[in-house]
Amino acid sequence: MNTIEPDTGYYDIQQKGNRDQERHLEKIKHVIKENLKELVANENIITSDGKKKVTVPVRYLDEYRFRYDPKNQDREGSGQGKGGSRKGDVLGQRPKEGSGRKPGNTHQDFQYLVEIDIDTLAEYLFEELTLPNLDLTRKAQVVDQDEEFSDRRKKGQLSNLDKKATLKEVIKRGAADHLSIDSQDLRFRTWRTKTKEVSNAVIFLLRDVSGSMGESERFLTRAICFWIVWFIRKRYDRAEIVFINYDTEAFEVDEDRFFHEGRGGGTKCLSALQLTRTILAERYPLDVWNVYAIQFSDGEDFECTDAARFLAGMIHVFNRFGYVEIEPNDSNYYLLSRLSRAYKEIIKDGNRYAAVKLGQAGEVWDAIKKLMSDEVKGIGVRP
Amino acid sequence: MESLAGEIWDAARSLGLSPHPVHFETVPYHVLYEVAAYGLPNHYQHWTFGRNYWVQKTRYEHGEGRIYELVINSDPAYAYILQNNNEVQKTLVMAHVMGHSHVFKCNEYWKDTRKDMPGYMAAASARFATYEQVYGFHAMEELITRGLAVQAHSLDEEHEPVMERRPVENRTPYDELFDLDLALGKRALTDSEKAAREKMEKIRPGAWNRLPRPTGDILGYIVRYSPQLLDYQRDVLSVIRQEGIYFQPYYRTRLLHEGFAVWTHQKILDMLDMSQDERMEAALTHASVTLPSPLGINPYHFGWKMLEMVEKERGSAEVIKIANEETDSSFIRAYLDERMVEELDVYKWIKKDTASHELWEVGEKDWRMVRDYLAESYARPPYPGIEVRREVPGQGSLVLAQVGEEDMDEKYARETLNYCQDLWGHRVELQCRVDSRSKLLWSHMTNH
Repeated sequence: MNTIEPDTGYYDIQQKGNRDQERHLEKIKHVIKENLKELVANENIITSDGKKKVTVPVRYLDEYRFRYDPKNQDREGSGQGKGGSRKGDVLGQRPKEGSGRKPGNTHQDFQYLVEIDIDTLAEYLFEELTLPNLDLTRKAQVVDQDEEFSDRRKKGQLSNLDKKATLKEVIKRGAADHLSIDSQDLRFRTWRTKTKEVSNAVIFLLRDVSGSMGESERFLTRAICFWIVWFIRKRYDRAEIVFINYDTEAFEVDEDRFFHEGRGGGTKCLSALQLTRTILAERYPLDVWNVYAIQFSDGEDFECTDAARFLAGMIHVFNRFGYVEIEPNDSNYYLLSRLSRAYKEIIKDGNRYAAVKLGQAGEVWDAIKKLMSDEVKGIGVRP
Repeated sequence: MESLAGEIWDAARSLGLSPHPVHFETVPYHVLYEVAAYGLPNHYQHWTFGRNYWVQKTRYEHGEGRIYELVINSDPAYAYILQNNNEVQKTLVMAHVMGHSHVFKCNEYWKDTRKDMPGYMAAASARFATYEQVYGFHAMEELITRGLAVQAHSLDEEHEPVMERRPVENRTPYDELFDLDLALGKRALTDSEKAAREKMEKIRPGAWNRLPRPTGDILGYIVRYSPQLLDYQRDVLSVIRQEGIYFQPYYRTRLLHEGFAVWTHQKILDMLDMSQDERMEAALTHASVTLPSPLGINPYHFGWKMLEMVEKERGSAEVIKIANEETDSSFIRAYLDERMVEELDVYKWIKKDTASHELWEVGEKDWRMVRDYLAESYARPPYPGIEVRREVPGQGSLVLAQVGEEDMDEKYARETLNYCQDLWGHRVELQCRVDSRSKLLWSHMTNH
């Protein structure tokens, strides 16, 4: 005889799914962590435009067991037609591209699309980064907006009496045994206005918008900027970013224009460096600001020696000046461009200056790491 | 609903079914999908079930792969029904469950499975939770991972109706230790045999006596004879093995199970008092689960249609006899005839690669060929057959061998052998087929 369990909303089933689901997600995160390098240049993320979550593909986490070779699966099978099928009837076809799946669902090459929080991803990434030459003394004094209800005073409203603190006073006086509370013992809570120190950083991003910088250069620039800007914002309570586009002239622009503008003239890096110095002098006193700059270019600057000399003269103001040379179509990959040769020869401060060269998305992460790492030990604070 | 359950029970009995009584519970989808992911309620924990749960639940939330019900094979049986089924769907599902419950109770391959599994599993899960506290989360996770890797290779050999035995191939010098004359006492041990036996006794006491014949029960062999397992590990692996044995008949009877359950719900719905609208609603639900598919066999449709055609010719007693006695493979071999192949338009398809396209076409339509192909493919286990052949005297290695000719996945096999070694304590080897060649693999192999 059948029986029915009245639906009470309570189920006689121990809920396990959530814990094991969490554990599975933990394993997925591990896979994501292992593949950070590939994800760093994932277009979904770079172009997420402030969205909190992005979807990335992660391979299905399978468990090992004895199984047949999947290569030989799905070559044949059985099925049912609508009636009157004949040998040789075509049931379906599709153009070849990569995977050998049949139409419909199979687990071969199955990938999850995992939604991840960009912040979480950033945390994993930033574990590997440091702020080079960080100067902890360059801070701003800021009056905190939140006042804290934490101070103790001897006078105050009875409703704000801090009983615990009052009793402590009683005990201190040695009167705890007969518990007589003197007016001297009373302690009241009161508001305190906090001032706190926050660290400051400004980062100058200098993008070459001359004719030779094309679509892939723009993407690689964007990928690097995306993570570095975020990183700086995360580590500094107050970070400001100055966007500068330059060809033969340099202009301070907003973020949108920075990434999308293209002009098409020649290249004169000196213009960008000069503008940087002007802005620094006007807006960012060095005693309270940590200063970073990253310059993106393909390095084809005919007046590069001037630029290099100029930079050498001001290199001490930067915690790190990064030069990123982008050359997607470079046949002589290992040849240095004019600009990077000039920088290398003239700038002697190898700790404040870092140069990287890259040509494809797979190199983005290594570039970032090189820009954001302490290469010389023991230097964290400016002398 | 209480009276409905009674009516359905009576209808099932009058049809000639003899199911386990069923305890019905309506649950929200996340509970149903959770039980489905674990296979049993109150199951022990492991991340792979969390993965299954997550994948299935996500599919459901995207409107794919709806599960209407889930029946647990036990006495009484437990059936979980999706809460947001409407009343007619619930009626249909309850009738459907009677068919499953009957197969669980009466089918040759199911009737000897343990019927106390929910209680057994709940008790085991409680022990596992204690072990986890004592030995740690990771120790338990790793142990369960290893057990699950060979869970499919669990057999209750006493109850195994058709365990095919094969002669041991690949003879080694040690094989003569097990020869028949010796076993029957017709000849004495030679000196070298004596030495080998003594050496083996020293390293692995008892190994001598436990190799009467190959066994497909890899997990059972490890649980019984591994010299290094702690008690709690042996317990955990035994539970995993029991579960493997419990689910073992499943792959042989998918078509039969679903076909018979559909046949049953159709019969029972006919007997119930329903309005015209309700019948229409039931017919729609029925139709939605019994759609034939061009590149796969929908067991709800194909199994049900076959049974219906059998019934037309030979009556419902024959249908119940099939549910009691057959597997998918034997059912097809004995009953699928020319008319059925024609009417159900079933065929074998093949995939072809042209220069630019992948192409699926009807490869075989001759009814005998189709019947044989189906019977064979339904008999094929979803994993390669593997046996424990012997232990290597003097080394303690365990020798496994594949039964069958299909290529195995080498990477997976190697990793699984590593797992086996963790449980066994010594090297584990496997003679198998890889890339159409015979190959010897072993645990922690370093070369390629």
